[in-house]
Amino acid sequence: MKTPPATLADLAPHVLRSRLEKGVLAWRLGAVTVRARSRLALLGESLREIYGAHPLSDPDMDGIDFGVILDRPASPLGRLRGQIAFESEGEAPFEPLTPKHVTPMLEWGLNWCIARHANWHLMIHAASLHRNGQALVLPGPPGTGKSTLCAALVHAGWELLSDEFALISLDDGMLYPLWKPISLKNRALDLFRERESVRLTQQTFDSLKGRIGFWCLDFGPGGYSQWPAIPAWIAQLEYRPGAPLQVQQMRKSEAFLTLAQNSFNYSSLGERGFSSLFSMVEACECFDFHYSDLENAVALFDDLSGERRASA
Amino acid sequence: MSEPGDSRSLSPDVSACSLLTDPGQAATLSQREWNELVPTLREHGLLARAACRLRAQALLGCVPRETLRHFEAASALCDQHALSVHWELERVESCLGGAGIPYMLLKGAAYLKAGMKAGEGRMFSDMDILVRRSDLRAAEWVLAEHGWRPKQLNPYDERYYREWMHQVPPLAHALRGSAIDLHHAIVPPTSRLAFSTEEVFDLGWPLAGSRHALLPDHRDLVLHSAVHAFFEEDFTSALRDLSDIDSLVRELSEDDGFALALHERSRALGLERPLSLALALAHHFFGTPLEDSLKSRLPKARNSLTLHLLKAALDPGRPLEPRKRRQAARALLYVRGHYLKMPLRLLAPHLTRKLLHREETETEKA
Repeated sequence: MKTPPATLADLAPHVLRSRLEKGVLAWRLGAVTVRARSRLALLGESLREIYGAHPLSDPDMDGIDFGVILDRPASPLGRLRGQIAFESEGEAPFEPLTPKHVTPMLEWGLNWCIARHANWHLMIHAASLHRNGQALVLPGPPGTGKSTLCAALVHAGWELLSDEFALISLDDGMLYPLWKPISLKNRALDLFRERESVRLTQQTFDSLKGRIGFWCLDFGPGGYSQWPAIPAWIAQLEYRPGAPLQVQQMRKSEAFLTLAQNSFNYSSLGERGFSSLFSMVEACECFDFHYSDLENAVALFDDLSGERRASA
Repeated sequence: MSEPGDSRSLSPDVSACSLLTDPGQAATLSQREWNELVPTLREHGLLARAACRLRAQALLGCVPRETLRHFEAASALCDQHALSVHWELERVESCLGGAGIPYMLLKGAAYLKAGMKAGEGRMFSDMDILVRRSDLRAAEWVLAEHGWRPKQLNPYDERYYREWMHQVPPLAHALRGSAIDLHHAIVPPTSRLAFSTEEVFDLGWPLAGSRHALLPDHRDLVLHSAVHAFFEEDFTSALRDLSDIDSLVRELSEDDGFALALHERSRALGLERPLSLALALAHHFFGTPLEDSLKSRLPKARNSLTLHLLKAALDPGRPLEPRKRRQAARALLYVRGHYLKMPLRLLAPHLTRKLLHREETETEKA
């Protein structure tokens, strides 16, 4: 008996395309499983580049969490311009873009769907990573350097849970992984391009926030985590050019507020959101953290995880 | 290994609509069918309602584990939503009631407060509130004092609401974001179906524990929902509205005289046609049982072009499949929805303006 294809890259190109056209291409992203439909050959190539190593799912047999469509838009004007549109469950949250933006559109679209639908987690806008099962949560609005620091920690051997989300399970309080590439912008892009073992998407993309590229990881240490992790540290970041590394204990009440404010669904979860956040903050060491030098910052967190291990 | 999707045509599909009215089917569903049902239910705001009905019949155990979490999450969000609506309505009571302004809850808020089945598993973004036209200014003023302010509109849209519509521009709470749609009539005063708000207030019954809040007569709950589904030019929640009608009619029909009383009321308000259309659609999608006595008295909705268009426009379809037919039907009904709200001499300039404005914004973005 032939073994079924296990990863997206195992699919022959014409099979991948035909599944995508029929809307039965499905793959696992860790905490969620998605399916996609598209007639764009470009999307097939982009999926192979970013999600090639990801396990396939069978929409006839496995649970699928949501589906996305990337295709020509419905409006005649959009078609005339040769644009593509993102749609999921009857909603189109973004303006149509040119086909060469299919990769960022897919990435933003998936994030949008996760933030709306993965409500069996408390979801916080934060980077999350772990070392030896002990997880670090880095909350912060865009521009605080959380993606850059997250990328640097992964490069130093931490396992990535997600560069955009902290997904705290309402069942067990663990942080669950999302196997999505790290999105790098502008200077961070140049910084990591030169590093060994960093596989960036071949193309970069112009956006309102500047140039964007995606770092596609492998699984395991220095890559995507295959397992959930226990929350251990919460660090609120601030990148201050030229300033020395500064770390202060943060009050738990303050950490709680920071996380609640950065949450996608804290208030709609009600009491369960509160108790789940409360337990997490109770169990974590909380820091306020200013940095300018990336290597110093990485060393600090490495020490932290080492100390934690030693004392455990 | 067979390609996923090959088994597509093998088994007949349980539709999202029939799962709601016959949850027992849950026991027979394959994972593939669940994968199609969940996004469809969610798209139409019916996931939490399905979860409630499955739970009520102890059928959640039939749902595969990876699908179950969607039902559980939806029903937990919905419980939380209900909790916060109750709380917000207390604030509304202290503000409108405190100012001595009589008001009536409509739609979702009314189902919830009346403890009706249509309120179970129902999410809604706005609380619909009806006041008399003569109280409108005072109501707006006191709501604004308590934080509910109109969303910023351009002067044209502002005038559109003020002069032609049956509600003031949507209000949102400055701190909590909770939204109120303040109506002074059930249908726009410019519409041919317009009737007096006083008739609705006359039959309203007081909400327990409140000094000035009223709930509509049961028949008016059905008629309002029917008019709403009938008038909509936006179809995102139309299927949910029909499910409300289905639920209301089933629950209220337990009273013997209800069907006839409903017909009488629809005739008194001049709403026989919308009622007939809504019931025909509810029957088509949800198998809503209709008493013969009611059917024979209502004007026939069968074979009308509008009915066919509405069936196409509301067809939930399958997730991820193209919906050209639905899009086309919705485009035609968009114009119709406006036509019913406004006489042509108002409508033509309005749609022209909307079209031009859309081109303008698209050019700006380009």
